[in-house]
Amino acid sequence: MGPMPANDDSQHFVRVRQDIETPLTTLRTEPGMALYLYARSGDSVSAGTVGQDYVAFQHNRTNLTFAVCDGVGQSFMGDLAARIVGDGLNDWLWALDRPTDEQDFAQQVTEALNELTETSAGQVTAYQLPAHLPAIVMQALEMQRRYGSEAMFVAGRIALDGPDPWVALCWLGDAPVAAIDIDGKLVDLGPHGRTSERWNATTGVKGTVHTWVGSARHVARVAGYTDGLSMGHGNVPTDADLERLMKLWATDPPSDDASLFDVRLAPSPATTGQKLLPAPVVPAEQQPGPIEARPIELPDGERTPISGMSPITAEKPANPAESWRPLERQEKQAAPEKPAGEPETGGTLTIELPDLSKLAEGKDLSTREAIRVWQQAAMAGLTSAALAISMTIYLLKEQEKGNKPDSHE
Amino acid sequence: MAYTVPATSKTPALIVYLLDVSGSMGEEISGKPKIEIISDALHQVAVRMVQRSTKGTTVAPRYRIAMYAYSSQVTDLLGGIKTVAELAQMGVPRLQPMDATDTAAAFREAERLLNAELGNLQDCPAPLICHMTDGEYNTGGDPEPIARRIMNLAVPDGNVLIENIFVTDKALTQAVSDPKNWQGVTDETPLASPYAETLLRMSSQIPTTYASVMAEMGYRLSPGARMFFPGNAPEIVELGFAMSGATPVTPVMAP
Repeated sequence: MGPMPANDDSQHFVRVRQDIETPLTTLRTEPGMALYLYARSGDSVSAGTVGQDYVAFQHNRTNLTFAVCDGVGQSFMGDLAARIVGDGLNDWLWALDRPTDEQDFAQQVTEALNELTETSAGQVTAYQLPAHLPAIVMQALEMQRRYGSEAMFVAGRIALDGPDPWVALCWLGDAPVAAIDIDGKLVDLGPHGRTSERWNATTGVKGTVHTWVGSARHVARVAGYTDGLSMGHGNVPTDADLERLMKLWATDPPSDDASLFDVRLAPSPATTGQKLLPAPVVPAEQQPGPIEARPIELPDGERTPISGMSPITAEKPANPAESWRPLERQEKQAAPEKPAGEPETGGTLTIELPDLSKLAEGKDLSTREAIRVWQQAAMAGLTSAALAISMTIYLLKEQEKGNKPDSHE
Repeated sequence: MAYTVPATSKTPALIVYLLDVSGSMGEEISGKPKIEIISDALHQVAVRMVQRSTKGTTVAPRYRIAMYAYSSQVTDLLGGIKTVAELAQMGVPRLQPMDATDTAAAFREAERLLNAELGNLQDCPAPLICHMTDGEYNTGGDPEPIARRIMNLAVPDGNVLIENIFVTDKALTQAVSDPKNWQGVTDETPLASPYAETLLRMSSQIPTTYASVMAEMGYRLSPGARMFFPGNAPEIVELGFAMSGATPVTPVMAP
């Protein structure tokens, strides 16, 4: 079970380590269930060196920022640029007000990244290379230093407070990939950028920053991942893909570094590959005010949290958490001791859902059972905590009004 | 036959150097012995290969290198094929001028190596032979038939490539004044010596993907140019050796 989410406004910053593998890991945050992974290339594993990717994110009760960065090989210490731009974007995005539009956002990101070079250029100059390196390698790296340290990235902000929750994503280069699950569909936010687009820690942005800005109301998932996780043809990895890759990499590391950050704001069959429980319909006027600021709307008549999806009633639902339950850590791959001061990271999560067979049999759940379903779904990250609370309040009110006797208790 | 397979750790590029160390390599050009210019250029290409193979401080084994020096005999300078990481550890050997020039013997050694290796290179970039000389063979016979056999060897990525660096001022009718903007030697380029024509016939056409990599380095070689670099300026020698390390290292679309 991962750490409990903070139930206050405190800010939590998670930096995924570059020197070890992080299997597909879940962390329950209040905005949604975060998944992340980090797999170094076979070359880096063999040489015992850090990976060139970098993943970092931060969250509080209503906000989340993230960055997935891909240090450019053949530039000077691409892992350095990846760290600098990843941390810099997280800090900057955290303080961001909702952009007017995508063009405005792209301009702001470009300006912020160019300003970042005021400090990052010095970090590249001051970077100490290991003294034990062969002369040819040292000479090659010093030539690269003159060229600069470069990274590509995808980063984003999810803001769920206020009456109009929003998502803003930005990316530069042809990797990593930005993807969202919106209106029940997985969308690879193409067209991708170009290989020549990167952020240089000395000279700033090369090429054009690409952006996506929109309402969070119908967004079920936001993900960024490096090309090691690319499914090709614009396909976004599903939970089954992630599970398959983690199994593969356990014995055969990827040829290139691979990393992912992925946050689930609501359940979606497109991502999980599983059918959903039919969600009770909540009239909009009965939802408590603050809850309406959350990303998922349930307009009258809709039977799932994702607009455009048909309700599923005929089949006995499979365990909806099963497909994206993180892989258990192997005993032999026990996580190394966390250095003092290391930020919190998640663990694996075991999800226990109540018996839902009654639904499949066409029977109603009791109020207590229904509440438990919503609580467990929220704990599993299948829906937001706010929506679960909203549903709990609604069910209790209905019970008080006598509309739904607890006949099964 | 597109020469698009990138050099990676799992599909490394095999580069074989055949280096003439005959007595004439002790002669000077621009106040420096040719052999030293060659050694410096070899060092530079090693640095460039390392640059193209690094991820942080890790040198990925994207290149496998064999290096033969020849005069009247052929000497294996590295003791077999080495990865670029191993070469970085060993350093590039300094060359010494010897005696005669048995070019055919060197190409025979390359052919033997390729015949032994080719079965394992089916998923790899086409191998490249980089031959550097400053004059015509004076023992061992004509190397051209062997070179032709080598050029007919192939892997799915393409036929084996042969490149010739001819360190002389007697190959071109007009010396190259600006190597960075030079368009290279094509079949129509007038040559000033029969041996230059022989070496041209022994030189593969520059694949488009290699030309793109060279363009990134600032060279402007024209389509149709051959892997033939005649001249006695250090910049031409450097250009020739730079070409030997120009195997693509990232996936490229077939032209």
